[in-house]
Amino acid sequence: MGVEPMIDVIRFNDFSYAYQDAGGQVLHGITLAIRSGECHCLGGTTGSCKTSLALAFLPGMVFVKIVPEARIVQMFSAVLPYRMAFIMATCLNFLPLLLAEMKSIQEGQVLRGAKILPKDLVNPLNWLDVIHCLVVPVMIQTMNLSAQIALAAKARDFGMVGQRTSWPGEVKEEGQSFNNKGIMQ
Amino acid sequence: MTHLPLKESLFLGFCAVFILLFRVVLRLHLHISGHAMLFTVFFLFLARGCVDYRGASSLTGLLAGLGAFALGLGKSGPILIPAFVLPGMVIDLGALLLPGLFRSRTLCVLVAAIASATKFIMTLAQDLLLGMDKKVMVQHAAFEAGTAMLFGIVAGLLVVPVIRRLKAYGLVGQPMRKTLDDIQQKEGKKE
Repeated sequence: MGVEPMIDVIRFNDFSYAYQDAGGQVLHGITLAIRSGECHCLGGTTGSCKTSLALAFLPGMVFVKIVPEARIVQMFSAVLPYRMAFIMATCLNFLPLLLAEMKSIQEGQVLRGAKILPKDLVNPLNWLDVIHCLVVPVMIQTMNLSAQIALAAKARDFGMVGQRTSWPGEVKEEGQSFNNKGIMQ
Repeated sequence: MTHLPLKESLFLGFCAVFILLFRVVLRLHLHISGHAMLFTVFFLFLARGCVDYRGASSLTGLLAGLGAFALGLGKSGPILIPAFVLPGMVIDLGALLLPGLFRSRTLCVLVAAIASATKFIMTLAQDLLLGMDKKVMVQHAAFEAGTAMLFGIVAGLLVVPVIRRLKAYGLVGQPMRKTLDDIQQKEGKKE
């Protein structure tokens, strides 16, 4: 028994938002952190940009952060073959790791003198630097990560059974059965 | 996809996720439509160039489309899926008919332009559903496809050096077997 650690699921630091051709920012300097299990209410008068703030939450980010990988696989496997569903969910799950790798590669290359900062990209001549110093290493890292995940999955006998028949947290009650897609009926 | 090794399948999945990522993160306010085609065509080309599988690009497009649909990107709903799959199919067809596709900048640009031009069909389909006037619909679709083609051509130009570099490292071939560890081992042996 122990106290569960409070993890920030959604965090905004000094967030601002502006509409095109609106002239000025509609949201300015918003800082908030919403933790796992917390429930918040957003209040304000009409036109105070409650919707803008809600829409600024990237739906994908929230989806990937709060939905466990097994649930994503389960959702995709309702419309896709299990293997494709597993691949899609795994890639989404490993995206933050790949982004961290990308950031570390970019920082390393900038220190080495590569002109790959956003301000350098105004000059199209620097685009080749992005290709050689950032895109190629990131693609190599991606291939390496794919190989490692494939090896780990193989070590866990992935692919021995065509379709998964049960999911974490799913309890098969009396009288219930799984259909040929592994979905409880 | 069952015939494709898991490693290659995961690489295609990552290419699809990259397409989604750049669509979300790099929301460039260029006031030019079609700029998302730059990353879409680039990663679809990379998928087919790195994985020697006939439907690699279409499969990446399908995964990207389903991902975009599931994550709620864009405004088109299920129409997003063919918007990613059609350029992928063109690239797959190009790779099938033109064996030297990934070595030639000219061929890459040509195929990228045709792949980007599929935006014409998608825009036309969307406008048709909106019930727009036929003349305006064709003009709008032609404009959208034209700008998408410009960005697609840039993607076609950028993809050749990447595949060339990956080939030089021995990472791209039949099949894509080597990894970073293999390269490091090889370099270690040389030393």
